[in-house]
Amino acid sequence: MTDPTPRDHTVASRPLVIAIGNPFRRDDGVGAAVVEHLRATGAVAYALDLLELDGEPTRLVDAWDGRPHVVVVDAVVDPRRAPGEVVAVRVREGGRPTGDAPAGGATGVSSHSAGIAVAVRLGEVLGRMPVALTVVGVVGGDFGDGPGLSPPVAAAIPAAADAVGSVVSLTAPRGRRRAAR
Amino acid sequence: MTHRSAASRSIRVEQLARVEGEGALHVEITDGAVTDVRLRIFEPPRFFEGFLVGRSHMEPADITARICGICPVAYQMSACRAIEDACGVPVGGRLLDLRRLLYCGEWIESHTLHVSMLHAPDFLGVPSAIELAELDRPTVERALRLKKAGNRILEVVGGRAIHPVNVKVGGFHRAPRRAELDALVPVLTEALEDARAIVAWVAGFDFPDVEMDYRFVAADDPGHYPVMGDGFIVDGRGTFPVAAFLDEVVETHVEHSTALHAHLRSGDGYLVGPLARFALAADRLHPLAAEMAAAAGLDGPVRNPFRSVIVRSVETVHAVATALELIAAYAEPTVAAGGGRTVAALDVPPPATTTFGHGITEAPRGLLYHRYGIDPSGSITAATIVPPTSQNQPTIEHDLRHVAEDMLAEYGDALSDDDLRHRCEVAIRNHDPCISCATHFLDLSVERRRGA
Repeated sequence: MTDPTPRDHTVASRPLVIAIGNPFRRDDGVGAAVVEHLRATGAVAYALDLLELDGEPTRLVDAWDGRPHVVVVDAVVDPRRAPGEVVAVRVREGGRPTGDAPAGGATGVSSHSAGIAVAVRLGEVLGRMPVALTVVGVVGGDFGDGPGLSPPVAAAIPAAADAVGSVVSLTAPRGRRRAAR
Repeated sequence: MTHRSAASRSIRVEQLARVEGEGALHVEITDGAVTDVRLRIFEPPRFFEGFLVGRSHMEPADITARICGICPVAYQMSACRAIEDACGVPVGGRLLDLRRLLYCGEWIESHTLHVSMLHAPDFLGVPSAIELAELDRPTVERALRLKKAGNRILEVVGGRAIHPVNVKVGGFHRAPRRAELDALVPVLTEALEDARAIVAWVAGFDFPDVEMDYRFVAADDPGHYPVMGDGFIVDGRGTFPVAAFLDEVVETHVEHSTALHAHLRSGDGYLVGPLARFALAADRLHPLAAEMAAAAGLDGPVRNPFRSVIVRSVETVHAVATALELIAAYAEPTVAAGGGRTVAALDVPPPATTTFGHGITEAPRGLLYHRYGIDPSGSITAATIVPPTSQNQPTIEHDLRHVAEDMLAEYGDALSDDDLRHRCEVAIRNHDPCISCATHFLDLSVERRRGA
């Protein structure tokens, strides 16, 4: 279980990686596992802010509002893809929507429903978006009760972390990247 | 994966995040009459009950906070109180006041999210908060500001807003400094005005003329509007000690749901949550909240589920005003820990013999009961968690049956599944159920039959 410390989200000018999901719903915990991986590798952790959220849209909007570059890592439900497959969607670039938006996310019948898609739409309407936003998804297969990822999803953690690292390093200032090494 | 290929436009992701389809409603219509209504709700507490057995009695405060992203404090507080009850170490005084302050943060956050972002659109004829923001941005900005004020309390007192880490059995890992809480005062002062404005706003909505025959149950928190339960009140039957909860409430497995359904011993369904608290303890609201309730036309128990939106907003005023009072009176709760050290938690050693303890607190959506057996080594031997939603589920099904019958009477065979789904969603939203953090939407199935 990750335990982000307050320093995880204090420097608003740095790229922010947000993990979404519930580590007690098996593969839904992959976002947290990817953030854990990034933190363990150290190098990126000095250049990135890492934050773990539950996916509640208004918290997402608060977290990413005004940031230069945000990557959200989440589990994906997609029956047409194999568990462990890593997909990435660039939702915003250069302060504008790309036209690619995450699907899903009806607004739900309770305050417990959640979704990045809703957060994106709400953030756009309110003008509270990051300059650049990428969603990195890992296709999950097992969303049953309990901690622990299914083998294909656990095996995909390094690839998902690479996807995050490659995306944010593009916009991270050179000096900062050097400092990260 | 390279960055360019990762951004391919051909990718279409079917469903991001949370798990789909765990809230489902089945309506059976036979010869034009509603013959069955079954709401299926996935309930994570059931898994956690088994997961906790064999663990240390110090662990549930952190583990149960993971059950729910919206109400982690409720799970932490009911767990801590049950464990402290088993160990014979009641937590009161300044530590209890600090717990009450933390709880105010959760009520503010949860209620504001539900009132302004989820429930209000039903009354304004818009599909969701997104369209509401397009129509009336200041209203949504106000809600986000108020919700953030609750968030700030969770950060300062709970250590962080998501799954607070500062709570422990016996108290807190660290007590906030006076200056940290003082910094919340301007935020909460503005929040109080926002909360009052929201009461006035929702009181002006048009409400369907409905009156339900609810049986209310709420925590008994002497001298306080219910948050921490020294006992519980059953409408019309009296007040009972926390330890008697499972004598008065019977849980049964129902075939159509992983959730257990709770009934009173008499077999009657009942309702927990804002309507119950208000019906049983309106006289203990903070004066500023009571004033807003009166101004909003609330006079006595509210039995119209749609008007719960007003009660939630009144409770939000109560939570903000109470938080300001608790901060004004705050003194760091320090406990001598030997060697001249002070800590912010009582020592809670395991009981001398295996003992059961009970804890009741009021989650934003209603009474949450925990029970743990703890042996002398500090190992948990049994865990029972009765969340508000399993208690409300029979009553919600009763409301849904009403809705379906009314619509059938009005539209007959012309009733579409879409219209029925929408009205049912509204009826469920009235009670802000915990359909788990894992549910995206209500999956409705309608079975239309001809009788023999």
